[in-house]
Amino acid sequence: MRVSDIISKYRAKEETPITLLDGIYEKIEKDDLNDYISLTKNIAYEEAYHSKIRHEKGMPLSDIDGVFFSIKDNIAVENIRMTCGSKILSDFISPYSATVVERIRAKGGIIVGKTNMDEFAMGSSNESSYFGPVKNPVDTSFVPGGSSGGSAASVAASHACISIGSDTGGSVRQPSSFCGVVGFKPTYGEVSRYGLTAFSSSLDTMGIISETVRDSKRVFDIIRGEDAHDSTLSSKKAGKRDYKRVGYLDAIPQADKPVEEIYGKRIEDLKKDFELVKIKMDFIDISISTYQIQTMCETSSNLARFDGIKYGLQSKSGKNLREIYSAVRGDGFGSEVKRRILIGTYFLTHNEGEYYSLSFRLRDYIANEIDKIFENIDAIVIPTSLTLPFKFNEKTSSPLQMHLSDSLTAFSNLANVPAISINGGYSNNLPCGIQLVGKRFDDDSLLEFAERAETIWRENG
Amino acid sequence: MDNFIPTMGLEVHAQVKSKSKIFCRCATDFSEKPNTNICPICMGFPGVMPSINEEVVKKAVKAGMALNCRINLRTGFARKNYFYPDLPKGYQITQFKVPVAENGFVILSNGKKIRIRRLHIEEDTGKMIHDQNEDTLIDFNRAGVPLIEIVTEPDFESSAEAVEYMNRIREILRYTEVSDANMEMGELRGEPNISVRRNMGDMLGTKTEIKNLNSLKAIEKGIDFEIERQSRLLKEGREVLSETMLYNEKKQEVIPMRKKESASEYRYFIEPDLPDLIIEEAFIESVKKEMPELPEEKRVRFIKQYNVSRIESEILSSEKSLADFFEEAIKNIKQTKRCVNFFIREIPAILNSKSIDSAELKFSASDFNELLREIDSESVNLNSAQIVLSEMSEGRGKAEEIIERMNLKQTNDDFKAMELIKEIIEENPKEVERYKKGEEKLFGVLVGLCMKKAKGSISPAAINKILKEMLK
Ligand SMILES: [Zn+2]
Repeated sequence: MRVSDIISKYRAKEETPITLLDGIYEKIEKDDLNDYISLTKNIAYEEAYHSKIRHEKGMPLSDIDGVFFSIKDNIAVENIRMTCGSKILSDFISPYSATVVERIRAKGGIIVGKTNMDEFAMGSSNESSYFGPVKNPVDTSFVPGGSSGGSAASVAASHACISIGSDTGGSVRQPSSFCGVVGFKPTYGEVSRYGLTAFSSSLDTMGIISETVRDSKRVFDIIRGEDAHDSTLSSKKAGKRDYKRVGYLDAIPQADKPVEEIYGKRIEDLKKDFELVKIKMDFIDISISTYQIQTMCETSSNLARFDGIKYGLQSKSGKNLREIYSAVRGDGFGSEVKRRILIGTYFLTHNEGEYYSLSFRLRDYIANEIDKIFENIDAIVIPTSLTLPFKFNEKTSSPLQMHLSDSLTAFSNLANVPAISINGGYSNNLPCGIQLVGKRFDDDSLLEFAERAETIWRENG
Repeated sequence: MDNFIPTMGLEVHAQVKSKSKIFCRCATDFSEKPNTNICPICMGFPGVMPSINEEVVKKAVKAGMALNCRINLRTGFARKNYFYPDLPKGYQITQFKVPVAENGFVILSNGKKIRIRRLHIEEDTGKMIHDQNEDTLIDFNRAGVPLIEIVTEPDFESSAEAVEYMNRIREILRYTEVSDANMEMGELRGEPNISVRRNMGDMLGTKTEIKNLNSLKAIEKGIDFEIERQSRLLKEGREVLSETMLYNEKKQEVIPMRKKESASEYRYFIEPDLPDLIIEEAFIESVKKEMPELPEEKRVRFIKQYNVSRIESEILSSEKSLADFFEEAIKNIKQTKRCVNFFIREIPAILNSKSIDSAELKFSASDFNELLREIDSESVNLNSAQIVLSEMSEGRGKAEEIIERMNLKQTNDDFKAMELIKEIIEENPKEVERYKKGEEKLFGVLVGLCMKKAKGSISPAAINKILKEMLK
């Protein structure tokens, strides 16, 4: 479902926001992908009604007026339940809205519902959700990727036009690759995080999932920019420029064969319009451990607030505080979340947190290496994921194997650079995303390059 | 116990005077109905982020400068992680490695320099309330209220020094308007850490910390009890444990509360939701411009300018508002000594008896200046002035009106009487001496002598009044 298609239907008076919304809710029910945790029918129909009137008067608020959004369930929408895919928040209703949600609604965007996700965004297959796994709309026996699995599935299945997800180490890009849609992670500091339940605050970014690059760009322009609630935003801007030189890897040792094949073909496709430069990315291995340490440390602190005192799972009781905490947190968190909290707590306690300090030095190193690469080229093109979508329960028994899913995506969070995944093609009917990575704060130029690459790849079939 | 030497440091928490909390826009008044001054941010709801209240940074810098600290131009925030129901996020946002200010000092009246190790900004926690049914309730109104923490080196050797230091800190924070520093309201809290050792050359002993000291009296007693307790333990050959002690006012004792935590148990790390705090030189300059004359500077000036004693200058400068009131009131006065004395004798007494501060008086400094001018020009005597003042402090008019209404102006008669009485006093030293020692009937004798000498040229009322005044 593309924005331009919807808008032209409104203009032609073929459809109204209400009729399309009826269709979406019907399809969600019929497809039964479990991509939504909560449907927000009340607010959606109210917004659709107002949008319909504005379109009838020929006075839409913006080019996303009447466009359907799904919101990952770790992003706050006022008066709507926000579970973060966890039992511990299964009855939590947010008293406020995230800045991105406010901006979308102020421009007439309609929120269809809150999408399923790996618990607290920790996972790469959406199988750690308390609300059950999401089926990949491309083939329902496969996982949709994660952690924004519900978001990517909702866009791929036309259950929403755009989805707002979160990307800490690839959580928007990897499921977009698995579901065959576009997933954009902007530079850290471009889009307000206010209202995004923190997983790893120094890496978390809001991300956009859509069918086309153009639609991501449209939404990016609406949600980006200054916000008094987020002081980690940056006012830095890079000047817009045309990309000419593109870096690529000539071998990706751990990648599946079909991924390498599709990647090789897409690199070939670019050779006509761009100068291709072979690059090395030796920091990929250390980026995984750096990512693990950073996220686990920060998560152990970010998730401390879920203690059953103020909200969430208050039924648990005990003789003393320690018992209440153990009961609430023991029962409320899933095993992957508990594993990461425990390891993170250990990292921060051991030797005055030397691992955490070390992870910052490694981050600096990785950022420097990336900067060096960008001295010679404008963008890096690499696969989004080492693998194609896999089947349910294929990797759940091996957390380490699951953690490897972030191999090709985590470095851009660590180095604070923007990256976008575009579908590069199919192998055995399973999609394979190709990722374009740009310089820090080069988001506008990267999106323009992504649109060109998208067109080239589409034309080459 | 005198063979043990105590060594102490103090951690002082002061509530920064600010309309809104440190990371959100909620009001800081935590005396309101429980859980009314709260929002998703200070409640730590999922997804919220802190944004620093600039006013708090400014006040912390101001306090740092007033305490002779070095201001760190690049500083930042950290998380102190621990679980407690009054801590909404499961961590407190504070400063760790680089505080906003460090390396300062305060000088005590005995000339001793108390070194300040650091001054940092942090947020307060909520408050737990235990009701009659033994339920524990939590009020989050206080959560996110801005605090500064001022930590000294272990430079105190007695509870008296600690109390004086607290007073100095209180004065400075009030002068600079960083904090109202009202101890009863919990706006200023002191937590001493104490150790004892047998000889000066010995290593410092194991230290304990005392909490719940809500007044200067409690600080003094808590410290003394703890020194005694530790000395007793060591004398008995027992060990002092590294513990946090709780002061119990009712039972007049300190009891161990819990084992002291070490820094690594708090898993400190940089607060990723806040950027580094960059303090520009221009910012420091603007704070400097706002810096008022500090209490010690004022005392030195008062001693010089108004020729008052050290103790008098301390009385006059105990509150900035009182010092300002004084300086306004004493303007254009020639007989300074006489008027300063009158001020010191009368004003603090009125403030104390009504337990108010000078701003709440029913007359202004310029009203009081009017009265001092009357004294200065000797159109009223000090006895009458006292009567005028007591009328003024009840809001019954201004000096001139009252003098008029009560007919208190010194007349021509009064001046003539003064001259004459001076002579009589000089001529009859013995009688004067005896009267002053308590032989009140001699007053009549002296009046008689004056009347005789005046030969009816001065009214008996004037002679009575002036004689009483001059024999004081
Ligand atoms: Zn608040």
